[in-house]
Amino acid sequence: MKTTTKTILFALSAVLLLASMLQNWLNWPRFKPLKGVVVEEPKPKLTFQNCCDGSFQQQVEPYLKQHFGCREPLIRLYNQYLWDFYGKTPVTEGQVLFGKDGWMYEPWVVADHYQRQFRQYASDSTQMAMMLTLEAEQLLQLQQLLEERGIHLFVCMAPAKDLIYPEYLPENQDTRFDNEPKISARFFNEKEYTRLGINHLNLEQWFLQIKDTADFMLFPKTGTHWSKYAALQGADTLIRYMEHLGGINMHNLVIGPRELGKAQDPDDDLESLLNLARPLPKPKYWYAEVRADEDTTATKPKMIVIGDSFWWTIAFQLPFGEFFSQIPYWYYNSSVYYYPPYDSVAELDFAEELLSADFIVLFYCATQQYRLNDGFTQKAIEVLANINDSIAFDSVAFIEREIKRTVAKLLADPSSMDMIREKAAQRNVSIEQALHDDAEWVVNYQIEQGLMNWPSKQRIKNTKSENHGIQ
Amino acid sequence: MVFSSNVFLLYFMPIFFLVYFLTPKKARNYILLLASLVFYAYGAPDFILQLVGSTVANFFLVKWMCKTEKPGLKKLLCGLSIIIPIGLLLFYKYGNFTMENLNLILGLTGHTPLTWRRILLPIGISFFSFQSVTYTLDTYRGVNKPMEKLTDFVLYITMFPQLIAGPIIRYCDVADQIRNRESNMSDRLQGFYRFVIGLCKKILIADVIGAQVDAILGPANFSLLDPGQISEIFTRVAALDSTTAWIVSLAYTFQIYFDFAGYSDMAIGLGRMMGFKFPENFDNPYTSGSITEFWRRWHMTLGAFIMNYLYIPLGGNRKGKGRMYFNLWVCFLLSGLWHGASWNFLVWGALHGFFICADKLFLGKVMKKIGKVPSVILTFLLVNLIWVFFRVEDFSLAWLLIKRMFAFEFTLLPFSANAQLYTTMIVAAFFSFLTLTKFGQKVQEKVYFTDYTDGQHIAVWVVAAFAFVFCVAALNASDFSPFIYFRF
Repeated sequence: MKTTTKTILFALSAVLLLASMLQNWLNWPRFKPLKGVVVEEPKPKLTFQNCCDGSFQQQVEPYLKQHFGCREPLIRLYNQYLWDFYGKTPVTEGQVLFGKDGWMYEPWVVADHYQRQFRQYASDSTQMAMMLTLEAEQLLQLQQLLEERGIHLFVCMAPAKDLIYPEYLPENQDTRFDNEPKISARFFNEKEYTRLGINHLNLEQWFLQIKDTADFMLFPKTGTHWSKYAALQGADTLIRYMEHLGGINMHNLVIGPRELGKAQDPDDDLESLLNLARPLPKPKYWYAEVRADEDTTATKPKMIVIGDSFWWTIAFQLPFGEFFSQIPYWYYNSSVYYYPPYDSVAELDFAEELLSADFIVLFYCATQQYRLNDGFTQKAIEVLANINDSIAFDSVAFIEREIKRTVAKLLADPSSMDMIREKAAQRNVSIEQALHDDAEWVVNYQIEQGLMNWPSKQRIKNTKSENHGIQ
Repeated sequence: MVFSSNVFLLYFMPIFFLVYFLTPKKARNYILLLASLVFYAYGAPDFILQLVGSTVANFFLVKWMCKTEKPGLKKLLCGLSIIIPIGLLLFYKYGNFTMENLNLILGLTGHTPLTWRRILLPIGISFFSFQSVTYTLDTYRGVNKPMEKLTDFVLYITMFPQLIAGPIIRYCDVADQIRNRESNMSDRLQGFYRFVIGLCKKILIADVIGAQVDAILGPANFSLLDPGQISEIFTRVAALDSTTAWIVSLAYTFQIYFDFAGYSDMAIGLGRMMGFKFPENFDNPYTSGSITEFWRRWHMTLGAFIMNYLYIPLGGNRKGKGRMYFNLWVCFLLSGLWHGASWNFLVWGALHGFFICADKLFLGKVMKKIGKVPSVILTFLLVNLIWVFFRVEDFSLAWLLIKRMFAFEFTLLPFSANAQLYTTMIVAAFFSFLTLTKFGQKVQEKVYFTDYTDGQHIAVWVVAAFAFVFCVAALNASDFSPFIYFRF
């Protein structure tokens, strides 16, 4: 009898040890997938060579970490333990910050609230300001080039959680770098766009105004993106703005019966990153079916959206086909969605796509304004400069901006600046002059080498600099 | 391959035991040998041929040594059989260290430094080379007969449970078990429980604490860091308040114990599942009332090796007190160097040797006089301080940490600031000192060394099964930190 008990336990031990392997092999039972994205580890291929040199072994463990059997419940089990006992999970170490009353924020959103986020993109606030100004000036040129071709370019700044709900922000986050100059791209860009006359729709400022009178929460407690309710408000405003900008009549949003329900993706996207076994308690959110009205006179324009993940919250709700003829989404100016058969911007005929659009919107959250539209503006201008049509291209303005951009880059590079100081002393000119001369040389070099998509293939006139070795 | 990896826990171990137990008893040693070679080749593919080659050579040398009647030849063959594994150990473990120091001297004396290709250290070499020595010497001394089958000897040297981190198993302790051993269901189950205890020590305690220690002190070896990163570590340590400095040093003290003891538990457990009775390697070392006692409880198989194969051959205490102190000190210096090829390990060994001698001179009597609990506390604090030199390779950084510990700039740290670390340290302290009480000793006796009833087996199995699952979860979840979306 004793042996039987021990034998059964031993057999159960064998089952326990083999369980993960069997689940992986049979793919049964299936478990609820983990939320969030990670960089996928490639599956190592076993060869005699890579086994002998140890590279196979090095690749196996990271791969198995992502692909072992029963992974999902095991990760949720451990995360739940960490959460219950210590109020944290691995994502809270760097990707989720906890504010008051259980509110969650992304760290860079909080960093931007205290005007520190620019440090990821520039060495100091002066350089950041220079980069933002140049981008705004370039945006103005692109807006003009597109307008002359009947295409409307505009910027739409989606709201960020920190500014709409600062009352729940985590404590003790505003002390670091307190004595250093700061800058916030959201406010800087708003001023620059207004000054230069760039078409823009600042939903953040508008949301601040309606926050106290809104029927429902504009941001979910445990999500980083605007709530589905807020996104629909934003979409409605966006359509009204397009009508105004293009002088057209578009369909109106018709919102069906509102229902309060459990959080739907992405309203709990920060919480879902915790990958807990049990959901956290949170309020119910507002959801509704949306469709276009039956206005037969309405037009359906083609709009290209270049932007970040805030667009998803609109995309998940709005039946695009009822409002737009086509609406390709160039996610971070890299991946392409809603535009089969294309997957990536690199696959597209850039010029053809630009010229086929009625509207182009640069749709980034307020805290993502540092990204300078992921290079879209620069690329679009270069492409339009090469189109052989009757519309003039202001090459002088373009080159001047390129020189300024290069100056900003050189200023941020201490080793380049050391060389420039040396050259200024050798040539007996001011550092500013040497800096400008070198930047001019770099731009010339890029044009001559075909590194810049430049139509004239001509050297900039009155160049004073020689090859100073800065490349 | 390490035990606390997915490859081992989820693939190698289940497949091995499945095949092992399905194989007829007579053929199990071959399965174990094959698995051991695969286990080692997986971690050190470059070295497997040298390991097998040197082991085979040793087998025949020892066989020849036992056959010959000529005393001179016998000694020569014995020496040769020791030189092979020790030579490999010296070359692989101390080659880089020797060249670095030689070049330092050459540089200081105005000579051109020599160029050499850095040698990669094969895992486990410190352990299996010592085991090979015990085989030669035990056979030479007539303690045991030599192995008849080559495969049995290769198995003794390469057996995977103890191959890469011990315990160092003397040939005489395991020779009979290799030839013939029994494993009943109770052994298999208790081996499994012991393995899981070790896994918990490693993953749930040592790794959790270790991550926090690394966050402050950086990696143990600075050779992969650039000067900027090293300077950052110095700045961080220099800014530590005394409370944090003590927490860091205590954390490492627990980390090293639970890491090493956990690994030994896993090895002993795996062995027991197959019917082997490996010697214990740790006996609650932090409950020691003196450094001498500490070394009777810490890494006991290394202590036994040094005693039998170094201290006694050097003369032990038979050649007067002065020589005894010298022998002790040399043994601990070499023990330090055995742990790692750098000066900090030598300092660590030298300090332990110094306090062992001090124990014999006066400290032991003082410790006895002050009573058990104060002597345990003092010994623990002393061991804790000496561990700093073990953990930090850079001598000036180790000194800086000690200075911060004694700067008396204590601050009150909120528990919530690092609740997981503090909780884990409390758990570690609880289990480290549990056997100071009679209740703790009873618990230890019951858990480790007593046969269970059926009911106890069921209860312990359920706990062990959950703990195993939880360890696999911790191993994989602790660094799973996805993004909401990709941001290019």
